[in-house]
Amino acid sequence: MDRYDLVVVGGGPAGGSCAYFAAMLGLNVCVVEKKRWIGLPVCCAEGISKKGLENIFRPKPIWISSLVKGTHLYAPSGRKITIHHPDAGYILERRIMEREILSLAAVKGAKILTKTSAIKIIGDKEKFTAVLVEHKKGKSELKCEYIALACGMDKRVANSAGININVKESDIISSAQYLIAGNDFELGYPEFHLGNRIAPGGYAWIFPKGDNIANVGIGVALDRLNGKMAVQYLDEFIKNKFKGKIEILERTGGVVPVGGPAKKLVYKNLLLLGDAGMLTDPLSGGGIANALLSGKLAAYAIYDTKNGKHLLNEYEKNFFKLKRKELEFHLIARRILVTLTDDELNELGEIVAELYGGKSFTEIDSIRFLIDVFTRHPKIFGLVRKIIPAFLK
Amino acid sequence: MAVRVIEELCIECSGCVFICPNFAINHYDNYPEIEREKCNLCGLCINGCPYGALIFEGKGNG
Repeated sequence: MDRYDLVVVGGGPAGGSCAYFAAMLGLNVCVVEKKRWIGLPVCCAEGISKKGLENIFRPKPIWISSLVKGTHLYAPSGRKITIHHPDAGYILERRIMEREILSLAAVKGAKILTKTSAIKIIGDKEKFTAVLVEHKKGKSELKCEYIALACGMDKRVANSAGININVKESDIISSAQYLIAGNDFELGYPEFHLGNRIAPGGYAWIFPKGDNIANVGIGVALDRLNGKMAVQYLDEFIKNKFKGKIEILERTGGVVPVGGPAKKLVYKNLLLLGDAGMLTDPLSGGGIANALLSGKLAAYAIYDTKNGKHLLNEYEKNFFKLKRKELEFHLIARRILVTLTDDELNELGEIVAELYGGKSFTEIDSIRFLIDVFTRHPKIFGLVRKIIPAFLK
Repeated sequence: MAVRVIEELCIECSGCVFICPNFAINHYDNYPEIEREKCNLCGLCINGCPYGALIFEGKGNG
């Protein structure tokens, strides 16, 4: 019978990071990944801030496809606003990064089981005791002291442990993305396109991975799809955006929760990591940075709990100590932005252009940026006036 | 009537598993599977699938 200190369900950035740090701390770890291949399919735009990655891992050159040096924002009118931000972050080669993180964990002693699905969490009144998994040889129980759920959108595993995750339609983004070959891409400058016609309740993006290749995608809120599929919005965006020849190399996409994090991240001896805890950024929909961070913090919390230093709840406390303010304000910002008309978004664009357009910044604090812009728009200022002081502290 | 997965269109993102309010969709390796006993035909997964890989199949309400 297998017995582990920690079973990690899911081998993506959250699970990989957790397994790596737990193994580094000497814990006996097992990772179960339902897919045949680690890191595939890549359902992700692959952007991450420099700090978001480097606070957790020192990236190897092969993890990175390009450096981000700024951004082009597009208002619904088509008005382009460029903000220079050298050292902003990376566009990753995520499939390589994921495989490398899991191999680092394996080298430190973690057991990695691919093509193995978690079916059910088993436990008694006091605690969870095992993960029931299915693989090609049949079913088996992985007995363990702690369980980390890093299985992304697969909320059924959490449900089997009595954790019910349901998100309203307006807080879910349906997204489609193509990997596109072409020659219209400006390396180093990801593009974000806003507008109720282009991407209702979301945005369209172009993340250049090289001179001739980019992730081009779109996210639309589930309650605003209007009977169309996300991929139809994407096709329309591409038709209007690219005049030269392009070729679609890969089709990916996914569903992103943008309603803010789960209320609780710790249930007895089980922890929710990354997308499984809905730690995606409500404004950008980005999930990798918080996934990596949650994995690391979870591993340390488990280690300390095992050694009697404190309670497992420390994981949740530490994560929210670092991230609550940002997640909360980004959720408020999203809730406001989705109510704006294209005219109002154009007005916001002008404000951004005036304050940030064409300028270069060594560091941009997103809360400060949003407050700067919002307070200059009378209608939005009225909406956020009362809560701003709490976020400026 | 039932919900069916069109495998050629599915990108294996597991999004439908998340969208389904009834926990009626399983997705292990390969493609998602729908548990008919749990599916109440609400259509949310069909609406939310980015590539339209889920459809209603069959006629009537049986």
